[in-house]
Amino acid sequence: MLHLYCLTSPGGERAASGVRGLEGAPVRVVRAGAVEAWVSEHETLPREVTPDLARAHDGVVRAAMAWETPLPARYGQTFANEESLTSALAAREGAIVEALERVRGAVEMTVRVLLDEDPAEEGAEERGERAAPLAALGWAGAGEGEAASGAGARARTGRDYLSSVRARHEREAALHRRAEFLQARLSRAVEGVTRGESRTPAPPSSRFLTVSHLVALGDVSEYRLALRSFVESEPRPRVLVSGPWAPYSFTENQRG
Amino acid sequence: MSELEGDDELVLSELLNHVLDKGVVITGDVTISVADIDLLRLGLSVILSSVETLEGRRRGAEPQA
Repeated sequence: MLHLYCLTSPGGERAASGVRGLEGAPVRVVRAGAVEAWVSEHETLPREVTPDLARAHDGVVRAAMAWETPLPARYGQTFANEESLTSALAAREGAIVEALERVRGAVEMTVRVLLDEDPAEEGAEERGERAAPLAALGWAGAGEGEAASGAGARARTGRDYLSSVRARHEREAALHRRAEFLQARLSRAVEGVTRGESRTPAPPSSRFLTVSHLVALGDVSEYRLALRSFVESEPRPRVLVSGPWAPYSFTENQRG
Repeated sequence: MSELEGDDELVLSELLNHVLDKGVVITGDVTISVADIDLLRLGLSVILSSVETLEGRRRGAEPQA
């Protein structure tokens, strides 16, 4: 089977030469019309993704990025053979070529902003929600939210239950308003140094606003400066920035 | 503003959120399992704890009144 890493314009054969992918497998390109797919061949692949596999996938995408900005593929797509890959690509060739043109010469920067609307109250609920998966990982303190969690589930009366539901909806509405406000401020701050913006969908209770920007390679320094004006505005948002990434968030049509 | 250089957990979290949750989908066979771990929530919890840690560090570094 073929594991798919990313898509580029034709001509990447030399750039892919010597690149190693999942489990050290050699990477090669498969041509499909005006598109090239970067792939490696495998008898089988582990069903469960590990950090090493994720790093290897991104490593190949970054190797392609050193040649030209690729369309990174979501991890886990395999094709039985070249024919099945090329026919799948042929069906979307026009859209892929357009998307490659849109991201050409650009990288992705990702900004996470903490929505600290009443953080103490939110924190109690969030810790409770996460208790099960974190406990499964053996994380210390994973169950510490249990006493505070599930207020609705353990409500003693119907009125308590309705009250807890209303309170949750009010918190979520406040988070939504805060996210909209901060996204607008962020967009204004980086206007003129970005070629596109993509907000990652999040559940209503999420305490994070995640926004990715498509930035021309030559504008990354200017982008960081523009971001600083957002970070240093009052009231100061709490922000984490990562990148440059390949344009993982800009593989479909995005509004600029 | 904090950048993620040198923080392995955060870098991994960001990597997983990009590689597993985004990117072009051409179909084919998508076979992925993450051992019953909710990676998005794991990622956000790691980031949350880091933000709080960074805040604590920042407050600790500020001159005391």
